Amino acid sequence: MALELASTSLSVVLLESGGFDVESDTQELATGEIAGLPTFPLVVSRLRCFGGATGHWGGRCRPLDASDFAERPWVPHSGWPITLNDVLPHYVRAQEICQLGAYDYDPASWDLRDSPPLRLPGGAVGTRLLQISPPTHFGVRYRTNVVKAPNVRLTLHSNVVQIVPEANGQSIKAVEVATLAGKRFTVRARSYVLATGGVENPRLLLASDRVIRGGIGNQHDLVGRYFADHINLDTAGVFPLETATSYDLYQQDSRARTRHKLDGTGRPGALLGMLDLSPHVQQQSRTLNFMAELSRSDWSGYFLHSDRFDFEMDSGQSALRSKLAEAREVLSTLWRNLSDAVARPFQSTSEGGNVFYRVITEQEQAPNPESRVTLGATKDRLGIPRARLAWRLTELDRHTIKVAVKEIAGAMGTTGMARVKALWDLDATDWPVHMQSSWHHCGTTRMHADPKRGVVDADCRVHGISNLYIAGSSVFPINGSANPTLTIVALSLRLAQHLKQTLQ
Amino acid sequence: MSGDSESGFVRDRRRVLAALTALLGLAGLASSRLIAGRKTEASSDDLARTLMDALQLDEHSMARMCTARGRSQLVSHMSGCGEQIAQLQQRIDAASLKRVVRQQIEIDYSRGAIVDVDGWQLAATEALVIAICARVA
Repeated sequence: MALELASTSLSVVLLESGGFDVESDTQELATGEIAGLPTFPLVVSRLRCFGGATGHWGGRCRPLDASDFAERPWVPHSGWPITLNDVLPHYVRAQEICQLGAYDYDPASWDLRDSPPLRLPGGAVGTRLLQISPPTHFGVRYRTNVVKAPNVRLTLHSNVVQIVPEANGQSIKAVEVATLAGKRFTVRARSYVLATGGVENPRLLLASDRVIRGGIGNQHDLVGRYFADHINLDTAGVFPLETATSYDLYQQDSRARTRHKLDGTGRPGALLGMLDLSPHVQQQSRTLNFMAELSRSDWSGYFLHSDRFDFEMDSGQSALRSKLAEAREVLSTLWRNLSDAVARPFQSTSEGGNVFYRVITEQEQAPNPESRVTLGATKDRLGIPRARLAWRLTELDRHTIKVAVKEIAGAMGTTGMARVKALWDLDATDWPVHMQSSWHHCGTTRMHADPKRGVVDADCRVHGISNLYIAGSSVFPINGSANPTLTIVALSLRLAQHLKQTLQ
Repeated sequence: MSGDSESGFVRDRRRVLAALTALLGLAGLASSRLIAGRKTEASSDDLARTLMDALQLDEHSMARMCTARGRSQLVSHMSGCGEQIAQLQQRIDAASLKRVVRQQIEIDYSRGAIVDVDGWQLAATEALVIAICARVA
């Protein structure tokens, strides 16, 4: 947003919590409490420094699907108050900012002859493309642009600790800022944009309760609710029955290749294939949007779910209980698979005899008001209550995985190319211990035209507050299955355009 | 190893496996009611008679199999099939049946006739074959 506003007559103050690099004392302010499903510690999954979480971003990009914006009767609380067309021009611009190839995500447009998409009959399961950014670390790539912009004043190590409304509660008067060195000051502006991420945005709104009880924008108890992430789960194994089929497009190293469009137009790009469920299947089987990696693995990964993220999950339980739960699942997985005589015929005929492909979900999460960020019992060094995250899933999330596994098995079985095995009991009541979140914090200040159903309106303005806006994935009313960064950037550009139009 | 003992062992084993393969392939065919109109040797008179015999067994076992949770339970559901297998084993065109079984497995997958056996997402016909093979192994 600062980049986009740098070329205007507006005067911009950018308050950054950290410095240009990660600093441990500032980063510690991101520490939070975990109450629901295990997820990554909040101090790990976010970065409080210039450029924010792009500092540890993997670079995967894809716009949301048109269907993600639509209200789907079988997905409660779904639907955006805007459409894909409203965001489309900003996606194209975001594509450049993220250093991606041409804005084209159709596999048929790209030269994929050396690693073609899987030919799966029936149309239920298909291949979608991600484009891969270098990745662009915004704090590095655009630092000079921001620092040298004459109308942008960047203030580092400045933590907003309170958003102060006017007495009537209808606009923001100022923000109070504190530094870890002990300084305190106030910043006043015509308009304010909160852009601190899917956990910190609700935290700050909830903590700013001096004038408005319950926090700013929270008159309908919505701030912090509908927290969503992408479910990252080793769901199934694909066991090839022949060696003619290439799975290369779906492997991480596919991103190292530069691909060109078949018609020779536009920028080249790095691509990665993912499996998905067609909109027709989603509607027919009443599922969420689904996307999954097909990651090459061997039998050690099959048994132990190895080579995942290096960080420990935080279950909110004692370390001993967490380890016991993990050990129980590992033993259960070992027993389940060691006793599997059925696997042997497939193992002997599969590619190399020891290779299979893990189906790792990155699926949309059903909007769930009980999945939420609240204020914790403890406070940080600046006196702000820490965030308390309770990530919760629904039966619709589980149903989607079950349908997806069956559809993938059906598509691959029909061709005879592979057999599929679920790596955990799809009917189990508990979610597997090895399930992970994706650091894609969404939904906690959701967008909706109705103030009773959303925190911000279609312009990302907080309902009932004339001059407070929110940028970031916290405004997503539903997260779709695509990685969120491209949409975050596109919505930020859209918000910048709105501010230029209304403030200049 | 003597020729007699080897041939006896192999013959017995072949007869059992051939019968199983045939039975289960035919059972899958019967279950989906897709026999008519398929241009395979499965339209021969002998095969048609065998399919009729297999039908009853198939409906019975398939119904139980679809509720099975895990391989051991699946195998136990298949008990009591030995006599029917023995009756059917004389009426088999092995090459034809093998092809039909393969086709039926593809049809099962394409139509979503998939069962979960200890996590394996198998075509119903395929699961039936594996279950009986596992039982006699």
